[in-house]
Amino acid sequence: MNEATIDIKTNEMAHDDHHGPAKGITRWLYTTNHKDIGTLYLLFSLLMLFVGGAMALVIRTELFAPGMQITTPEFYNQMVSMHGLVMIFLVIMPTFIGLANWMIPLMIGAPDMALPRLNNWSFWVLVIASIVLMSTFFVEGGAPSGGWTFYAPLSTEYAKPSITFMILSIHLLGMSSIMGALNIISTIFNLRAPGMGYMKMPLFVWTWLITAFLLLAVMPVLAGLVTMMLTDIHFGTSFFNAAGGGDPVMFQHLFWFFGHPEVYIMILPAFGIVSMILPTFSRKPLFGYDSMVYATASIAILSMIVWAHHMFTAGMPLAGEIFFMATTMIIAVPTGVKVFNWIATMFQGSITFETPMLFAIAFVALFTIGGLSGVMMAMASVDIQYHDSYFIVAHFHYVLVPGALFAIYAGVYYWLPKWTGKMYNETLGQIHFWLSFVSVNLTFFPMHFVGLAGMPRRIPDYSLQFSDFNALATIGAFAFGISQLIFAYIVIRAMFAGKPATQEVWDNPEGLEWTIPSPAPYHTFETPPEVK
Amino acid sequence: MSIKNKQEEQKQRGIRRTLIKSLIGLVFMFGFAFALVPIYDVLCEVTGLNGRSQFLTNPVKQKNIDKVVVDYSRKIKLQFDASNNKHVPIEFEPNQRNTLINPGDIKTFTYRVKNTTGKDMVLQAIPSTSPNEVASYLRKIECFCFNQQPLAAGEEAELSVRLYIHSSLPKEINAMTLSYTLYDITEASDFQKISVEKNARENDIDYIAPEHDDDHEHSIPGQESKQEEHNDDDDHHGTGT
Amino acid sequence: MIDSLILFARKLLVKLVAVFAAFIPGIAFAIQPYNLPVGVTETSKEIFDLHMFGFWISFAIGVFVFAIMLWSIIFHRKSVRPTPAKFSHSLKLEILWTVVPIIILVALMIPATQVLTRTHDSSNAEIDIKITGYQWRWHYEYLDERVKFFSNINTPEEQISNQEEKTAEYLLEVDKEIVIPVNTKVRFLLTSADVLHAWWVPDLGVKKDAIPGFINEMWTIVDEEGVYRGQCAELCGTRHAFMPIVVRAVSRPEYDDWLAERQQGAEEEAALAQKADWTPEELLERGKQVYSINCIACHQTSGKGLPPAFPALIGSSVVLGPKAAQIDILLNGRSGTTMQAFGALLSDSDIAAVITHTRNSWGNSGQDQTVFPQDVAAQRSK
Repeated sequence: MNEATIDIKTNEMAHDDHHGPAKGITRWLYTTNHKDIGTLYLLFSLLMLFVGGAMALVIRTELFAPGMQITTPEFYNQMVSMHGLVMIFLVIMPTFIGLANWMIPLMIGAPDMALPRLNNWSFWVLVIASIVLMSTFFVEGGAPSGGWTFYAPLSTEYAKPSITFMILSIHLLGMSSIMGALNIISTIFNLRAPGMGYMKMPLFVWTWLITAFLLLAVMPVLAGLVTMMLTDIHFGTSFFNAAGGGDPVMFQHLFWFFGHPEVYIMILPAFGIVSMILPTFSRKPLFGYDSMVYATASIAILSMIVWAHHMFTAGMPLAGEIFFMATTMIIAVPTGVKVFNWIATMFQGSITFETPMLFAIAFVALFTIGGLSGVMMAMASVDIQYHDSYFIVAHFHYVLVPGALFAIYAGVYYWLPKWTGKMYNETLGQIHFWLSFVSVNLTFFPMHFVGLAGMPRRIPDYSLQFSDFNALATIGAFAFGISQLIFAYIVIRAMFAGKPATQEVWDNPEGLEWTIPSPAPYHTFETPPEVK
Repeated sequence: MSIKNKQEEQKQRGIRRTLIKSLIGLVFMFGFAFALVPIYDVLCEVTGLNGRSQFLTNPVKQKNIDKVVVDYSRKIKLQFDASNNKHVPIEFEPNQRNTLINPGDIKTFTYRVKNTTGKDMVLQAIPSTSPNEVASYLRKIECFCFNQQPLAAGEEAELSVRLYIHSSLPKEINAMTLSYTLYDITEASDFQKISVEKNARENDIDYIAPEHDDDHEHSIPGQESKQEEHNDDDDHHGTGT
Repeated sequence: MIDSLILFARKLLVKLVAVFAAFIPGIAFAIQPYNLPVGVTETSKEIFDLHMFGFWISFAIGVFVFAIMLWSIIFHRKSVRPTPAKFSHSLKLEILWTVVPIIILVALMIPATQVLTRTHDSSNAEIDIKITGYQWRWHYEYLDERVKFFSNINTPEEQISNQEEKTAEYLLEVDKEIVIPVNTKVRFLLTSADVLHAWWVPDLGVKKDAIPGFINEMWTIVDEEGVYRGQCAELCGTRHAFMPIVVRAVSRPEYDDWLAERQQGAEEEAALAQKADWTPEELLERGKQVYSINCIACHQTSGKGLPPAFPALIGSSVVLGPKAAQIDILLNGRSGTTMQAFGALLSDSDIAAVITHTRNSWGNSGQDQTVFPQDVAAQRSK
């Protein structure tokens, strides 16, 4: 053991310190430890959740009643655009990378991530990117206001100065995500403990491996796209300007070629988390492990050929619309397999309802609602009515809030005792769940109705018939927002106080992460465990 | 040294290999993003996506024009339309709104433009068709949209397009619209130079116009050389439906 | 274990269908005001039927999934069932829930494709209307009738800023609505003069993007006379929420009358544009009309604008200063702002009139109180 330690130390990729964390701020600044970096990611995205959430509440306050309330239309558009960008790029994606950092080495029995230094960079690049993005509020003309999709020509030919900063920020965010993905792929491919074959990997590892490949495939396309925007704005090219032979519709094709896989980047790791939690609290093995893996892979592959279903009203030849309708419908099949596998896992189990399980169950139920409205809008002829209405807003919030975010909550409650060594307050956890569950539905369910009744999205003011449901959604949004303060309190408290957690934490959970003490020591699995 | 050390080294080599492969994939995808631009144009060509076709922006070859046969069995309603981008202060309208035309019949149509300002301007017309699928069945022999158009202050001019509809046009299509949007590109262009070129072209003196050659000019950067010989009328795929 | 699950699922399904069938009319009635409108065209009705078909299928799948979940939550909790079952896969089940969804999806796909094919066939339209999206209003042009006009929102700013009570058609009212005859195939050609917009009228079951430099098309046949309202559906900048659409469907004779009236109006307008001998009073009166059509969306009836995006005209240095600068802005727009060039849109008389109006309203009183068409003409040819 001693000899091995010295040998590893001579290696260029080795840890800085093998006896424990450094003290003070430099520990966090220079850390290459996967647990420290995971913690940094998670705390950063928790902070950003409240930033993005505050923007959402500005939006909901404005929409509480017809008439302009607290914002100007211009500022409202900035809120809408930044809320989207923050939640996607600074909350959901970094949280998943944080969870991957913490858990993947523990789950596959690796001592650390494969590329620790890159890991450090990817986090701090993310921080710089977020500062650049936030700084756009102080640029003349204000933050980007063309939606998180920043369509041409509104965000190219008609761009305001802050769009250039947004492009820079997206470049950095892309670099950060790509570094994260490279790290995860290298780790999973090379650092698995002996005996940990691919079909023995926990599903969270599997879904992240597939997600990482999706990131590698589409983040460069986003980078290419924003580069084209940059040259269109500043260097006189005309990729998206018809006057120079370009085409604004091409922007949408390129954007959604990135954008649709991006949707799955934000949900596949959530599938993984839920697939870990349901078996633990049902005390029954996951139903259909193999089909779960295949379903995830097919979802990822299919996600690359469905992009134009975001563009059914942009004008496409009939054959194109039929093709994209068909591929979109096919993607519902592997997704359905997953949902059915989850309920089959619960069926005839011996279920208990700790907070992680509650969030996981809510995930399955509410994600199903989002998925089903997705099937409805796959019908291209009907999507003509749904497109760019609040029905769409309801759909993707169902997939991303009680979908991705609830899975994240489930995962945090599930692994928090392992991270901090202390149990969180279960009563508060249950309260957090029930408040979130009720308020999230109160917020987003009415949006289906106003959307169907004809309310377009991204408007700061609406006609009178939409009043009641919008008021309801606003009340729900505030309840949801305030409930999340409980979550912040629970997490921060569990970092410092609480009942000590046992090694297994839960009732006989499966996985290598439960074979190490709680809290997880600074260095784990320096000698790889043997997996049978 | 120890077995452990060897294993460690092996792991590091594996990581490096994974990294290199991933980086190659990464660079490929970044290149692919830019390759999507010409791919998109080809897709538009084949499927008629967004009413774009290089038949709209480039002249057909003489040898194909010679082979055109008129289909007297049907007439297509051809509608002309004109738009101004961003309120360009130019009067721009077709001299004929509608016409009935046999496929294969070569005809000339005109648009009237008038510069209502006191400034010299350079204009570019961008063609588009509806339904989108018909774009690649319209063949142009000459068109004002092939060139930038100079228009002096207060000048009024007639712009012409000489075209025919290819006889492979699907039978179920009996009407189509040809639309031009006028863009003001004075700032990005040079009025004097464009005027001289236009005069030379019209008087046919010593003028070699590269954009009238078979190698089509496309103004999207980075794809000039990618254009294939697309003018071969006989090889027309006819995948418009 | 597996067989019991299948048996259970089958029983559940039968029960659900029974309960369900009893409830359908009630639910459908209760949610109608908050559902997709049935609409007044064949397309919108077909879309509605498809939507409900998709909805009930989704509803059934949802209820099925939730019922099994609920069953497990209630009866398979640890306190009721201390020992869990051990099964972890079943090929039979997995094939079942791959194949059944495929069948359901094909069932959705076929009617959806039929409707789609029909909406794509815009041939044999009797009337062609070109719709151009502008920031932030719509322009309509009846291609064969030589009728064209802008359509602006006319909800007063006081209602939007909550100083006055909102009326029933709040944000969904315009100064000039688009009029079409019923039972007639109307083809819409869509384009935009600046950024993307989308023209959406739910009752007609039509929505399509307006794209600068390109034309799109769609069509409709309205079955019932009435007024149908819609909005821009693609984020197009600051006042995206304030460019509504109002379509009035009328009988054929009424439509012809409207058209004749419009054409006559256009001739009068043309005559006005030619008129040379304007008095300041005539200019003021004309200017007020021109202002209400072209300027109020941004600068407001009050002339206070909506700063900082749209500056106030009250006390503006341009309005109070020499006329040449203001004429120039109206003719050529102001680059870098949303102030458009009106040179091609308005005649010399209209530009003179509207400038005169701004120079004499809201207490404005500066240099060059009256601007004549000749001034504008002179500046045009400079």
